[in-house]
Amino acid sequence: MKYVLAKSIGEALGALADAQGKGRVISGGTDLTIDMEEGKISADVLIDVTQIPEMKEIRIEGDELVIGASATLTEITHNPLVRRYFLSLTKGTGCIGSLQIRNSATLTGNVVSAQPAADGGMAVAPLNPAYVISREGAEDKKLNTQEMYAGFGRTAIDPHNEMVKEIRIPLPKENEASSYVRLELRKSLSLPMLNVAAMAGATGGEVDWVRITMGPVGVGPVRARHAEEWLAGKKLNWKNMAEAGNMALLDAKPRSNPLRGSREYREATLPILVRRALEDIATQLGVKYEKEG
Amino acid sequence: MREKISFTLNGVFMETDVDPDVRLADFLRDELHLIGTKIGCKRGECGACTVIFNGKAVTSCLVPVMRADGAVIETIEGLAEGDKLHPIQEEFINHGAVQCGFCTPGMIMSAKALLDENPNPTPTEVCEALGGNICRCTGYKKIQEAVLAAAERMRKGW
Amino acid sequence: MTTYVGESIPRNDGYDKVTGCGKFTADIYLPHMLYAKAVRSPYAHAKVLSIDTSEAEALHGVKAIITWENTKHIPFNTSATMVTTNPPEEPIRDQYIVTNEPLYIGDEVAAVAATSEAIAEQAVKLIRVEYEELPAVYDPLEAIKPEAVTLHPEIGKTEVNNACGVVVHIDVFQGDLEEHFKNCDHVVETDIELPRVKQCQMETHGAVADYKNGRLDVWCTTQTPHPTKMILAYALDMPESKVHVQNPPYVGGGFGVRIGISGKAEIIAAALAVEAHAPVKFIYTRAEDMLCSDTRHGGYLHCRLGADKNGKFMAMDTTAWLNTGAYATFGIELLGVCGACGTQGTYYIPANRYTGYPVYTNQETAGAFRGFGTPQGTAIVEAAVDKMAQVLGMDPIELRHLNTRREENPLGFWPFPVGSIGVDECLDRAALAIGWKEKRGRKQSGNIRRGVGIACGTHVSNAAPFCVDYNAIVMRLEQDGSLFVSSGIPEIGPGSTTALMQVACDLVGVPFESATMQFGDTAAGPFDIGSHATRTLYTVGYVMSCAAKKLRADIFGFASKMMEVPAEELDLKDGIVFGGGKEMTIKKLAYQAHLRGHQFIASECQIPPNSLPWFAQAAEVEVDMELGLVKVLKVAAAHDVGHVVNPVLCESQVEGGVAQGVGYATREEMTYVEGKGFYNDGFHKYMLPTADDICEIETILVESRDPYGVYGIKGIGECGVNPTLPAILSAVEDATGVRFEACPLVPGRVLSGLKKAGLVK
Repeated sequence: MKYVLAKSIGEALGALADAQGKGRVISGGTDLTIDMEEGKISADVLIDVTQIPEMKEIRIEGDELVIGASATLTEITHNPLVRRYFLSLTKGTGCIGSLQIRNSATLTGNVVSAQPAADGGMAVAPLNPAYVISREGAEDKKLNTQEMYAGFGRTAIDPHNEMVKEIRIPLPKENEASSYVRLELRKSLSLPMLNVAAMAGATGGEVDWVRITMGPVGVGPVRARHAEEWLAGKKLNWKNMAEAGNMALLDAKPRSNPLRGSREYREATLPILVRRALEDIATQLGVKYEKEG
Repeated sequence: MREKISFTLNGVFMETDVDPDVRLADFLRDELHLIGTKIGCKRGECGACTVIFNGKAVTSCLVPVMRADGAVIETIEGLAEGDKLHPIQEEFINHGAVQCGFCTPGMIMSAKALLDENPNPTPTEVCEALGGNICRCTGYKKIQEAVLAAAERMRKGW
Repeated sequence: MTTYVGESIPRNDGYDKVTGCGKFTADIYLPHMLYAKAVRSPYAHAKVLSIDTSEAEALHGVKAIITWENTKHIPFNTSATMVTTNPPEEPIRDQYIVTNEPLYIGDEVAAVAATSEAIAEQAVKLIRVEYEELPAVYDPLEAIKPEAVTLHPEIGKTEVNNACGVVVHIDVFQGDLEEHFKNCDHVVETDIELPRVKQCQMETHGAVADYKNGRLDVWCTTQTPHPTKMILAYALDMPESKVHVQNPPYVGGGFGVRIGISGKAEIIAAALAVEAHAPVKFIYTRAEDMLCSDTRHGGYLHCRLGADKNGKFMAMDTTAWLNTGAYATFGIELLGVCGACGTQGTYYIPANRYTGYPVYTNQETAGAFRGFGTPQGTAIVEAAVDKMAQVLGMDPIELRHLNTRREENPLGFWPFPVGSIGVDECLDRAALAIGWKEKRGRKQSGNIRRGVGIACGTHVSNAAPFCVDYNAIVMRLEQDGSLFVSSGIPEIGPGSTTALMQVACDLVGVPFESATMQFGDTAAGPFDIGSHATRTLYTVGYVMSCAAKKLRADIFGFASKMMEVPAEELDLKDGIVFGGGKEMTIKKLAYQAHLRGHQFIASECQIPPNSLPWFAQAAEVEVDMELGLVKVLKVAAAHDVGHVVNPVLCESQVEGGVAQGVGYATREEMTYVEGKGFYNDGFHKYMLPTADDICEIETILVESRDPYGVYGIKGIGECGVNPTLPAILSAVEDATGVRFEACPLVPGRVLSGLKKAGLVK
């Protein structure tokens, strides 16, 4: 196998093109190395993008937070800009695997693995990110979350010819907040039983809009559209948050997992997680609510 | 086809050629005969193979050896100076943080990576930093005590 | 007065382990070494119709392949049962090097040795096996039914279908048991279902075997070098003196998983080495270790307990149906210990019956795992005791105090005096440490609820006289007076090789710093059963005391002539022989002896006495009711160890055991998926505790000074895990009002139970 330690985006894209369909990009590699060992993925050329300076940057550009595709999960979790604007994202990135994994792995890699409950992918989903995809000899293109996920364990990216360059997230306004909750069997080295991420804008204690994503209940981060539509325009109180949680089930298709919860358990607890995600947003926005019932 | 790489290992600059298919953990053990880095799972799930890579703790079983090119790597073999143990190593022994010893090198490297960055961690921060290092023998309590004791010693300069 | 016993002396192997220079089996590299991989059955029960190895043989780098066709068909048992079964019983011998009738998914049907791991893996894929699937059974209650497929017809008729050899019966009552129950004022019944859990020791099974000129050398991960030597010699039909088994010298944990051979690592490596005439290394992957080696026995237990109106226990009837998996290994002994330590020790109960069914199923084998049946037995009995306390309206600790064993109680089941009894002190001190008075029985509302619980029990300090159990030892002084001890024990983590040298140096009277123990090598040390049954410190300490007496007599006999002082007036302490107003260093004496053609040397071989170690653990839990999340906040673990040899090492044993017990109660479980096998093929699919999830652990060491153990010691090794699970179940009941009868308390199970009880909508 040939291993290319690329020093620039141009070099990486060129090497990928040269490999003529037999190459793949490797960033953290914590999933890829295992998949290759198990024969699930093969490549004759690996193009390592972990040392490309522009892809490691985390910066503000205009009204967007830009996270380079090679920024590690640890770098993202501790970055002051990310912590200031999207603490919820750091909750997602900060719980993947273990510290050792996070020191190598990337948010991009987590998204590209397209596991339905991948914590990083879930935490960033409601923030309305744009994934910037590069390929040799073509303009960068942008995909939104819905466009990104193509199936269980698959994204819309052609791994032999394209790579994610960066993730762009619109900065939140004053009256907007995001949250991330995870139902887990233990903190480290475990996938979640369920995870929910949400972002909302509210004025005077009333929801202007909300995006709720949840997993693993379908392909990638699944939007709780019924709940979102229903909650828009309503007061951010306990009763409504709980009802939105119940409505999340209308868009969720959880399955039973031998370890991470039966379908029945996941259906029973998903509404609670959605409610807790909304409660967190309410608290951040200074909206007071009383538990009812 | 073997490729040339160079890196700094335990403070010593090295140039060598490697098989690109190989992981850093296997390279350290099989080719450099540095057996201190242990393999517990080969999937990055146990931490036994932890080394410090450019200042960060990583599970070397998942690191392609080619990525070591230009890197600064520390393994357990680099801590002691002959018979003189590093404070972390000494406190591990003093506090009973060592039992079967298989997780110990990886655990110590994770602890060192923590203390290099955060010389005054809280007990919770210690446990969070070690969350990726599984120990089945100790229940972690004495490991936490050892790391805190080592941190205190290192802050005081002994 | 002791110099070393009682001190937290830093362990002897500390330097090796913290620097990484200490060798484990995977660190052994020999010239021309080959790498082994196994071919494993994808079926839970099948017949091998044919194996075609031609393509694999043709692969460049493949040096040897073993199948049923070219291996010896001498059945054996991979566990030390093979060599510890007391006559007239015979050990169940139902395993082969590789099999032609796999009995579980993962059972070895062939193995390959090649010049690299990659080639060996490739060769495995090229071996074509034709199977005929056979009916399979997975649950012990199903397997004992007469219509279930009989998995081992070769062992003959048994009391119920698929009983692994015998059903264990312990009957300690006069007359009719039902009459005893009729005389009780209160009778409670309870059940528990317990999971299989996995030892998850950090070093996977492994062996490097080298066969040359009729001599076999094996470096491996066994906890019991001598029994493993015996098993290998038997299975390969070789003289034992030509089989050399050694740990390299360290073993990365065991917790019982390799009492005997490590999975099949040693025997397969050895068989391939014989075939290949080259050293063969066989290191299990983590997945193989998880799925193809012994787990703890899971299964079902039932208990009926009767008491008078004051709470005095009068009758108990306990039954266990435990899943021993495809092969017997320790099935019979474990069901025995479950009954003996679980039901016959802790409380005095005049009419007491136990029935234990070790049941074969077509799953991965179950074998020894810390506690060896005591956790299971303790779990059901403590559940029954708690239920009785509820029925009587009594505090659970008060009820226990009323019934715990006293010295004057008849021994009943026990063939030896139980020793000192510290269980009551353990109960009180654990209760105090958890804050029992303030925290137990609080009425709570709200989503987050807390509770405390307690459980107590007992175990043994070795397996005598139930199993063959003995130690030989050689103690000698080198020519400069330094003490050299040769023992067959391993060092698998507890630090016994350090603690025992503390004992040895105090027994002989020489400095610790210049003393050495040779361990873990059958060629260098005489027979020892090895590390199991909580025995190492207690039993080796005992045989050391016998040998030290002999050694001192030898020393004083010689010194008497040199110093012209009668031998009976001489003593040896801190390396100085003194008496009659004179003294001489042992260094000088030993050298003088050397010049006169004498070495001070003593060997002994002894069956040890036995004593019961006692314990009580109290747990505090917090429950998130609407999610069913049980979090253990603290465990206060009080253990009667007789006398503490090395406080840090002793505490370490307790803490490690408690962590395993917390995992057992709340998160750990091997889940079987029919057609695929167990789901849990690695750490990411097995929820043992990590550093950022473990609870607070407080260790309380109680010293009741046992009359039989050297310096009053008793065993500790397994005890840490024995009462944790029932203590946690008791705490969850206090927090929520629900007594769960199945573990682990994973969120799905807990939420379901809380909903059923009407506590959550």
